[in-house]
Amino acid sequence: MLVPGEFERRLASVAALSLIAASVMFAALAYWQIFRTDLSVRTGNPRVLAAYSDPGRGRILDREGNILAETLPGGERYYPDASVAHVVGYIDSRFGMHGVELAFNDLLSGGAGGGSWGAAFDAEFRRASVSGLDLRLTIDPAVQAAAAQALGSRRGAVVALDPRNGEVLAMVSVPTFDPGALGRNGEALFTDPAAPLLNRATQGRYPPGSTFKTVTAASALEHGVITPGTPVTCPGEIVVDGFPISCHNVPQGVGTYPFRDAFAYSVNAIFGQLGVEVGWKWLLDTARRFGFGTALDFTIETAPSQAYAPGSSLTKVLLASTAFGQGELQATPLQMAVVAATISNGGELAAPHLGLDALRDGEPVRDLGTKGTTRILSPEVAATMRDLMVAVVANGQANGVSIPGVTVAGKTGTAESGHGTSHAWFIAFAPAGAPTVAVAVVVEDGGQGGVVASPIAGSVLRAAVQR
Amino acid sequence: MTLRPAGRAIASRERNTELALVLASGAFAAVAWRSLAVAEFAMPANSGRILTQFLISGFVGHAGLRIVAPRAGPHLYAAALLLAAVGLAFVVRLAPGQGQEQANWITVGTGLMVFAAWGSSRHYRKLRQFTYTAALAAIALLVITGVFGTTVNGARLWLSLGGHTVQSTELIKLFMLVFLAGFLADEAAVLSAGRLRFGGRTYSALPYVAPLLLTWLMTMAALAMLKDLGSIALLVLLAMSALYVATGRVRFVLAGAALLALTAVAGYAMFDHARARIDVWRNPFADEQAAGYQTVQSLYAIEAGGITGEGLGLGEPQGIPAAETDYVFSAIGEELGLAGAAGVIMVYLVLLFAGLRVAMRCPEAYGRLLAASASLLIAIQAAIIIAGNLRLIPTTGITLPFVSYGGSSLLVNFVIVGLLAGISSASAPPGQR
Repeated sequence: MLVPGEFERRLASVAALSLIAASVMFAALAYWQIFRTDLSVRTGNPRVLAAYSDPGRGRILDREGNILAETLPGGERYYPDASVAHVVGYIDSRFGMHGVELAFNDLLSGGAGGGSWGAAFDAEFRRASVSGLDLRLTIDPAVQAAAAQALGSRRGAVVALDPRNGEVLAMVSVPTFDPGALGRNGEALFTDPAAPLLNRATQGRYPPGSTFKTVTAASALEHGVITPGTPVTCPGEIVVDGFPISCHNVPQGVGTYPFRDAFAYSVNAIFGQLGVEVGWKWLLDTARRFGFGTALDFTIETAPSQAYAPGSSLTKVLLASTAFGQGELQATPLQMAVVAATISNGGELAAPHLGLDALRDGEPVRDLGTKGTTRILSPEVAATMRDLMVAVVANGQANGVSIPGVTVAGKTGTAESGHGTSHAWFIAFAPAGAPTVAVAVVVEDGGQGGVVASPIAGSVLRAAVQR
Repeated sequence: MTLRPAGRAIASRERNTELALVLASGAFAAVAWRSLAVAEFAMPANSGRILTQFLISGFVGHAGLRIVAPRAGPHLYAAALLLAAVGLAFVVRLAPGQGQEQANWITVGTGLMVFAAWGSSRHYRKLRQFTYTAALAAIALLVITGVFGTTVNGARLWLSLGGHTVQSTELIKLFMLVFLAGFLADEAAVLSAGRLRFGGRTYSALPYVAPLLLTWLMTMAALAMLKDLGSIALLVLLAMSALYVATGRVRFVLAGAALLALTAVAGYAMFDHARARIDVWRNPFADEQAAGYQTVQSLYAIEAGGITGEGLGLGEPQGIPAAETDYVFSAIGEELGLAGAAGVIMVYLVLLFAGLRVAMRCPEAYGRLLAASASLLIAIQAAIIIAGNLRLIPTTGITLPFVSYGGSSLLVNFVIVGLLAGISSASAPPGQR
């Protein structure tokens, strides 16, 4: 029987249920249409194409206001400086977006409303075409030029950070390309075996060689396995599980000496043995805190550095070779710059980033620079590491980095590339007492780190401390 | 037909309200045409004719209701026509070549609606005689489609009739509606009592649920053969809510929910294309270029809309495969934004509430159940496809009532609105103005 009052009550329940369902749909609409703006820059989104010919797209500037990218009256995007090509990236209707052009597309295109409520209103309600904001990067023109000039045409990368705040002062990757010419020779660039489009600074993965000894030493220090003054002995070679590690990789290797000399002269056998004493657990823990194992959180595309290859068995032999910087280690120059910057900044990592602020008509309207810091090492361990790295330079292990009146700290690396050559590495920071710059340099197949890479780092440090 | 009472009612308040709302739908269509022109959208050559035909059809439908169902609630037809206007604008925009066809279906649909309203305002109770005939017809139609049907997009849903293809599931919905209302009107007392006392003995209600369950099972099995998961979900939800409305027993809703969950699990296990859809629903970005393409393109479109949309003709929703049928709501989300898409949802709410009001006003059980089920049918169908477009549930290939491109769906939905209008008019108290 349909009792009238009851029937109405049921219909009211149905109506209430339909209102709930509608509310869920409103919420879903709001979620997709207001909060998921990340979808608008995904490369699979055909709407991204429409942005390529936007005449109102904002300019990209370095921190002094020099133009790194601008749209010409004809709608063509112009990039004056090829040395920052990998940072600035490109915007091309066929090849999509990359680098800062992609990372800050919302601001550059004006899609984010342009920073002010009035502009947001214009964009959203009046459908007025809102011109994008100009974007100021942390790149310092003097440091960037010094880095580009010092590296020259040698394949490799340079990254310079301000360790106090994580601002990237310079980022160079060689070989480079002309982002504006992508439309004409994009296919050739993509298939070029020299991989000019690859940003070696953030996506090039190299064995870090002896620069990784900073991580091993930091791990040993923080767990009390060793101190700088602990005497260590190498009779000629040290055998780990039947695998001999020679101490002849450097002339000073054989004999008994304090650990700080083993670090300064970079004796592989001592570090192999030290790694075994530290053990996988502690070494991996320290490496992970620095960022190994996952891609660093950075403004543009970044490849993860690794302490060991996924799925490999963590043997004692692998541990020993990892501890002196070979094994299955893979590190990006950005990762090693972060290691140097963290040590120099008293053990605190200031997240690296490229964006400084967004400007409208020359006036800053949005700050992009504030990023948090993370404590990686205790201040004591960081101070000890700093002293160890100062000793590397003081003992003359790195050519061409000394700056008159400024103490420089560094660590060399000469990494076996796996095809008979060596990648030259150098990481450094200055002034050692109150650092304003940390740098990582890698030269592919370059040879000795303390001969080939350190002078490049020296040029960058000199330009940076003069800022 | 006696003209005097009709003549007096022709100027009824209900119809005058409806006229104002019909004018608003016409204004919407005119503004939409103007927007498309301003957006420099390449309109089909006969776009002026399409608009004119729509406006005339809208007014003819309204005039027809004045004559055949003068006291029907005003919001039923007005809401349907507004949705049809939105749909026509988006069909012209997304598939310009099909605009004329959609307009023709709207013309036929409004005509059929007037006819259905005329019939139901006088004779809707006679539908009850066809309760079990309708169930048989639904099953027969399924079998015929299963044997002779044409497969479109992995589901066999189409029958070829004299050069036209008919989506038979749309007709099946209509038959199921007639069956459900009749059956529940017959058995509601038994179902809500839970057991039957007779001659001092208590019988379980099972024998009385059995015919419903049996018919339902057969229909589901047949639909499963046609692989139309959207229609299965629609009919299960409809049966379950109609059962609740008829009996007030939440137990049926829960049983229905369990059944639906079971259907989903069985569908996942049995049908590859169901499994693919659920996998895509869970992570469309995993295979963005192939399996997840349609879903991801739809989400891109919805996201692009923002609060007020890109503007009609200014977005890129044509990149979504089947944008004019299964994904028209995403296209609305892109070009009319949160405001427009939420507005469309609200129009469905208006239509549902207007239909429930018809059920409340109706003085007798059969009409009440028929009206409630009919309005729920449209609302549930809209909810399923909208929720699918918004990735709240897996996508199913059913149409957005009155809006999606497609004749069968438009005609059946207009007939349902006509049915509701007829019941509404017939239930109006004689003296009331």
